Parts: sequence; structure tokens; C-alpha cells
Amino acid sequence: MTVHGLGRSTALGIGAALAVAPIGVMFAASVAPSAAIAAGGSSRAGLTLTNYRTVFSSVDLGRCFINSVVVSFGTVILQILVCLPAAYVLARRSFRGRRGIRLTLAALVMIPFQVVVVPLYVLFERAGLLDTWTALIVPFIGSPLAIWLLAQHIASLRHEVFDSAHLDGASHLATLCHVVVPASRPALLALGAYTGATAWNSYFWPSFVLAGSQSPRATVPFAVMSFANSEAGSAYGPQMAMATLAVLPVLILFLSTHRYMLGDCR
Amino acid sequence: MFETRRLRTAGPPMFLAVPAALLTLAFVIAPLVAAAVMSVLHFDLTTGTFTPVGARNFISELSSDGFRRSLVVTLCYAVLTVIPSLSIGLGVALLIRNAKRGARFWQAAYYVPFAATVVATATLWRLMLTPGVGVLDFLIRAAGGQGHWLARPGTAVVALAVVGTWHQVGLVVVVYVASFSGIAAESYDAAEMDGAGRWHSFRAVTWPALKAPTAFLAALLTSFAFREYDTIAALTAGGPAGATETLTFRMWHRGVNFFDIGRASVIAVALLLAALLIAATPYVRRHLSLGRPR
Repeated sequence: MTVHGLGRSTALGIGAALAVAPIGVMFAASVAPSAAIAAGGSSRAGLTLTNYRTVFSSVDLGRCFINSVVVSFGTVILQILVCLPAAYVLARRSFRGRRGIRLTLAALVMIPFQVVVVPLYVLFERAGLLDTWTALIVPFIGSPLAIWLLAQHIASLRHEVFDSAHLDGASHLATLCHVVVPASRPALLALGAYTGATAWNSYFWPSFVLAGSQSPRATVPFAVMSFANSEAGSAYGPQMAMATLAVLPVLILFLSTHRYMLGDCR
Repeated sequence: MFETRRLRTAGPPMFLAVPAALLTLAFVIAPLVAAAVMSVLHFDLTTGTFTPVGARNFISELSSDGFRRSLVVTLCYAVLTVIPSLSIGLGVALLIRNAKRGARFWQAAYYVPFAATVVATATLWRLMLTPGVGVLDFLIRAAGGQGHWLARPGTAVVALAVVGTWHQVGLVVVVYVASFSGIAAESYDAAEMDGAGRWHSFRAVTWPALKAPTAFLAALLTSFAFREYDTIAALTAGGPAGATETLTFRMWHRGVNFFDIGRASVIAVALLLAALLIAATPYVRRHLSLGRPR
């Protein structure tokens, strides 16, 4: 390895350490006795699982995890089923108003969700859909970001792929399933990872449509926030244990699947 | 730019786009229109009815000091997150590309914060910045700083920007690395044969391929900055003295705490206009358009 390569690896390593360090602090604080954290985190009073026991005894974590899993996977699958065909049309068909739709989508991508939250809340409240999976999933299925991202990806595919499918007499649905989907695998996985993580981590919208942490549909961030609010401000240990439990499943899922999602450079 | 070229085939049938069109209309566009309508209404909490008030909400909100301060705070937060995220992310992506091995490993490491639950990591950052307890506060003081960043107006917004940048830099890295894969290795060989130096081949080969992802990322990160709520709620709740009250946070505050849905909707309209303004920027428009269908 050249000196240059060594320097690059060192720089990458330091940056990555900075990125991951806070997660390490979180984990360390979750197994440290609260007294040790309050003392500045420097005393080595040994490890403890007390913090985790505190969490499990006061929050129904199993239910929150199931809800989060349903909401995350439900949003990802339905969003791709709905947005991929639309992206295919947008990328591969010329029609009146196409340019306007593209610019509208680009603008919609930038609009904060908060802008639409009050009307959306009124809608779900009137429809009697509070405290349901529907309220947590449905608003995010028709996603301008997903349509736009997938359309851009499909538009960048080499057109020979489509020509040969067309010559073979493949229907558009068959082309979608057998040409577009395989060719878009990295984009679909990246979008799925983004949408899934966003749904898992989402707190703002659930806090409108769920009636507190006692809701039968309470998700994991809900457990984190209600737990953080219920404990005394100085109970850092249990808070960090709760935070670790919230973050761990996503990290494990991501680290075990990242080889399929992240591209190599070459 | 407008597509006039005849396509060899008509392209996929329109009905494939119907479900997405309906859902987007119902859950994105209709609520946007509703928010715009609410900005000229007054919501009476006691009777639960809306009455038209014309421009009154706009006049009272836009002329308030709080709105102007929120506008400045939002712009500061956007600049302090978007520019560092883009430059650090690009730097890391270039390092990853030039590293011989481990492209996926490095990307995964930098992506970890983005996969982590925001409300969970926000409580973590609050702990790390708490005087007497937090490791970060200790380090800031050790480096000669004043510490207690979340309690002082000047540093609270910087603290939020650090957390925001930490959270999203991995996403920038992944998008840039993915766009490198679209650059053919022959382009670099050609540049090398022309005797191009490192900087020149970056300018001639790499950068043109990065324009589109950069426009996309700049637009996306700006929208992240506009919509940031979780971190602010968990770290500062808009304080101290409104120093971290972004437009989005102020809108939530107005709507939920004061039930002033009219004035909250005025802020919604302002955010909408800002988004349209950025999306209409020639640079963003040029690189966010999808190109002609092939």
C-alpha cells in the first residue's frame, strides 16, 4: 500500500469512527450504572443490565416492534408496487403535461411533510382511522420522491434493453416485471432502505394519529419518547438502553443486507 | 428541451400510473390545497368552525418578529447542514472510490447514523451535550470552548446543525458512490492519455457526472432542513429564546400549542413557496428533469 493509500484509509477510518462513535457512546451508557453516567462516565463501576430490565418492565416493547415492522415493510412494499409502474410510464412514455408533472414532482419532493399534516390529520380523524395501521401507512404510498427517483433511474437505462424486449413482443407489464425490475434492483433496494428506515424512525406523523404510547398501534419511536418523558431527566441509563433497543434492529437489518444495496464503485 | 421527437412505440399504457396519481392527489396535493385555503380562515376553538378572514393571518404572521427570526434560523440551519453534508459526503465518496477495497464496508459505516432512529439518537446527543455528564460538552470545554451549547442561542443552532449533518452525511456518500458507477472507466483512461492531471480529470470526467446527483442532493437536503422537527423537539424545543425555532417548528408550535391553524397555515404556504422557488431554480430544474424518453 502506498503512503498515499495509507493516508486515505486513515482519513476514511477517522471519519467512520466519528460517524459510529455516538452509537458506541449510546451502547456504553446503556450498560453502565446510572450513577456512573452522572459521575461523568469516567468511573468504571462495572457493567449492568439493570437499565434494560427497567425498560422491559415499563414499556410493551414487543407490541411496538411488531407495529413498526408492519408499518415499515407495509410502506415499502405498497410504495414500490404503486410508484414503480407510474415511474415506468413517466420515464418511457411521451404525453401532454409530462414536463409539468416532472417539475411538480421535483417541487413536491422538497415540500416538508409538516405543510400537509393538519389537513391530513383532519381527513383521518373524520374517517375514523386514528390508531390504525392504515393511518400510518397510506399517506406515504404515493410518494413523489419514490416516483421521481425511480423514473430517473428508468430513464437512465440503456434503451436497447427496452427495444429488444419490444422486438420479442413482450407486453408492457412483462417488460416491467422482467426488464425494469431486475435492471432497477439497486435503485429499488436503496429506495426501500430509505423508505423503510424513514417509516421505522418516523415520530412526527404518528404523534398526530396515535393516542399516546398506550395506543394499540404505538411504534418504536413512540416508546422512546414516552419513556424519555416518563422517566426522571437524570435516568440516562434506561433512556440509552431504550435508544439502543430502538436503533439495534434497523442496524442489524441494514448491516446484514447492505451488500445487496450499496454499489461498488467499479 | 421540450420533447417533440416521435417515439418508436407509444410507451407503457397510462393506466399503470393511475394508482400513484390518485394516491398522490389524495394525500399530497389535496392537503396542500387545503393548507393554502386554511391560511385565509380563522379556526374558532370553542365552536370548531372556520370563518374567512382574508389576509389577516398573513398580515399578523408575516409582520411578527417571530416569523422573521424563524426565517433567519431556518436559512442558517439549512446552510449549516446542506453545505457541510455535501462537501464532507463528496470528500468521503471520493476517498472511498480511490480506496482499493472495502467500498461497501465504508459506505455502511457512514450510513449507520442515517439508519438509526432520530428520536433515539437525539436523546443521545442531548446527553452528550449536557454539562457535567456529556462527553462532548467535556471535550468542548477541554478545547477552550464555553460548553453548554444547547443553552446558548449562538451555539444551539450550531449543535443542531452538527447533529443534522452527522445524521445525513452517509446518505450523501451512498448517492455519490452510486453515481460514480455510471462513469465508464474508459473516460478516465482517455483523460489520462490526454495527459490530464488528477484535478483536471476530476473537472473533466467526474464533476460532469456529479452535477445531477448534486442537484438532487441539494434539493433533498434543503427539504430535510425545512422539515427538521424530531431533533429540534428532542434537543432544544425551539429554545433558548426561540434561537432554534425553525419555520417548521414554529408552524407546529402555532398549530398545536396555540390552535392557531390560520397562522400555522400561513407558515405552511411560506414553506410551499420556498420549495417551489428552489425547484424552479434553473440549476435544479436543468438537472432534476428526467430527460427525454428514449
